[in-house]
Amino acid sequence: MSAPDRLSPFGPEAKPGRHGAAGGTPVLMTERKVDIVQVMAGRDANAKAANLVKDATGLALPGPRKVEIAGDAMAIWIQPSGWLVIRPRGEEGALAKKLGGSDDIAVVDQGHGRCVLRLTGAHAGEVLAKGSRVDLHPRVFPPGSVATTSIDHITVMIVKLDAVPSFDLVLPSNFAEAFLDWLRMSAAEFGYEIRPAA
Amino acid sequence: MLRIDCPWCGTRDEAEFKYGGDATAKRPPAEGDGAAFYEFVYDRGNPKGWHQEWWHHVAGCRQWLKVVRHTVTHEIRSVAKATDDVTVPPA
Amino acid sequence: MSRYSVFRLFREGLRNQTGWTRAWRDPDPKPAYDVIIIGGGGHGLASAYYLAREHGITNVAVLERGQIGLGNVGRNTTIVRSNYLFPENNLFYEKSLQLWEGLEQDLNFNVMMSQRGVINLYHSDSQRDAYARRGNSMRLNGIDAELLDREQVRALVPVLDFDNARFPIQGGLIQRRGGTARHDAVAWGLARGADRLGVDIIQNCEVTGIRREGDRVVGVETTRGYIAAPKIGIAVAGHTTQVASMAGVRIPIESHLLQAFVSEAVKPVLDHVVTFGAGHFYISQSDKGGLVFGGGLDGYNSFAQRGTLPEAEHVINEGVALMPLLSRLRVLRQWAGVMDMTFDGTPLICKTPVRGLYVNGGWCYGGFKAVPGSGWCFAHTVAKDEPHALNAAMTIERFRDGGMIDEKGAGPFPWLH
Repeated sequence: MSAPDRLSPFGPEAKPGRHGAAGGTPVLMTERKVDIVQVMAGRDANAKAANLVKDATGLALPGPRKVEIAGDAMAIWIQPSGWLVIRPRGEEGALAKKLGGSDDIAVVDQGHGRCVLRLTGAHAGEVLAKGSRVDLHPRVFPPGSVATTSIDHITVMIVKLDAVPSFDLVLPSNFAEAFLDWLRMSAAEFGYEIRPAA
Repeated sequence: MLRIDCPWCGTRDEAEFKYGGDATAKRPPAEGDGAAFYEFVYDRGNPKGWHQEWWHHVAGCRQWLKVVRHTVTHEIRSVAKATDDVTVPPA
Repeated sequence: MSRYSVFRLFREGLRNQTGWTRAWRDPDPKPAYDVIIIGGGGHGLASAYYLAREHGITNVAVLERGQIGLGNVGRNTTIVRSNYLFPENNLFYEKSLQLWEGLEQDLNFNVMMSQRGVINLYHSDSQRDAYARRGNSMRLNGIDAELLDREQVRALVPVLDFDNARFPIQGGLIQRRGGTARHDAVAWGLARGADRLGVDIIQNCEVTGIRREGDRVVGVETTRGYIAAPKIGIAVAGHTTQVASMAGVRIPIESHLLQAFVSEAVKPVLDHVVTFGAGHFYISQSDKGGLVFGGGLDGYNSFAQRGTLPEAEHVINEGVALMPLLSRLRVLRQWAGVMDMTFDGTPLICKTPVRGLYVNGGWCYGGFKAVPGSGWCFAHTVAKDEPHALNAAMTIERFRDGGMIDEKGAGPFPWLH
């Protein structure tokens, strides 16, 4: 028996459909149905954590400001000796259980605490740039980069996926609705389409 | 606007950081006397010139950083990890 | 140095304003004085004025590095009030407010004292309780305070956003005797008043050293030569630690930046001083029509006298949340002052470990309203070599002895007070 589907943290305004300016290339917004686990390594335990994640998911743990992407799964560097492991949603808690953890490696399920919104389209970078203080130009922020910053007072991890550009935004779930409010305002001039969660 | 060159995240705006005050104060041992704790908590150099200070990259990598900044020009001379020893230029 | 009066004004009107003379002398320093006050800001000038007026000590020099009125006394948002929680504060500030109420008559100078009322807004039940407690503490000490509900505030200040989604206004605590005064006029009036009693106000005279003999002071080195005095008072808030260190005294203070702003002039929209309860923001309207407002510190040690954009943006955000009409106005001027921030948000008016050396500082951002009270208490402390009951708690030793007067409950972090 499976648990009932979780409610979207993006709230009632995340209605699928086309909004904002008509014409042109809309920015696509898709809530990603994912599992998120935070892995924190204790002193001198980085290699051990890397092995743990590699064995469980096949992902290598990246260095500062980098993301390791393999298909639908990724590992994000968030701070020294700290990473998020993200993959398509499975049975609740299974990823954390599989990773396990030990005295010197903390594994914490963040499936409810955080959520991911995918932003893609020619204007996606411009939409983010209105509220982000981080330089998102491809020369300094190529695919495979991550930056944690603050947009509209909300802490956001910006993961650059490809040159379209596409971004995965990792957000605290309890601010997701407020963030979407800002994002919709920012994207309105280009037009945007909210896609069903996937 | 200060731009702080976080050794982990790269150069970021002041808005991502929280100030943590004088980084030269050293906590005395728990058995230290009242005078030692007075010095630790209240006795500050308050230099008009180079100041060694803590900044917390709270909306970034959440690491504490040791910054050498000028209190008149606001120029930042160096940003180091919390455990690094830093040198402070003469006033 | 004649008196100002309506008859004088009328007479000068008929004489094409040719009969006015300078308001205070510009003397050269004498070799020695009974008392030297370092710093010709509001506090220094008030200290010299009350030394002469209350204690008959007129052989006094006020040494000012630049010109009178260009430091923090000319850089504030001009608010006067005594609405504090702790008796150590509210009794002191009440003395100051009472002196403000008679200052124009005392000085024969129009300082444009305007008791328009200061309203502290509350936005939640717990904040209402905190303001009720503060108001009760004030009333127990004989100070006027009145708790207003939402509709009473709306009747006084209809332009506020009462239904802000995050910070709806539930009411406010009003001190009707609080208000504003013209900051420059206070400096000029005190300078003229002190000068008339015989005090030498010496401008462009920077103190570069404090000379000690053993455990006592004997004089100061300045850019205009050595000047001797057995008693020296420091009133240089912003640079207290710098000047005190010339005598080998370390003061628990950090210097921080505080910004203030003035909008273009508009017709009267705001009859009171209003403070936002959901952030650090305060606003009033000057007689010229500009909205005068300010917020919190920039948040890191600085002597720069200029603010930076992140805090400016934050202050204006708060202002627009409280009073949406601000978004349609242009900011005309923005400036910053250097604040002496203590570790509990309360000032110092006290003796130091060095005999004959006294310090008046640590005004955080409450210095302007304290000007007459601070001068009055500091004059007493210098003249009698012991504090008055009103400033007895405002010592350096309180930090060592656990006698913090932490009105805000922020702990020993100067940039949070």
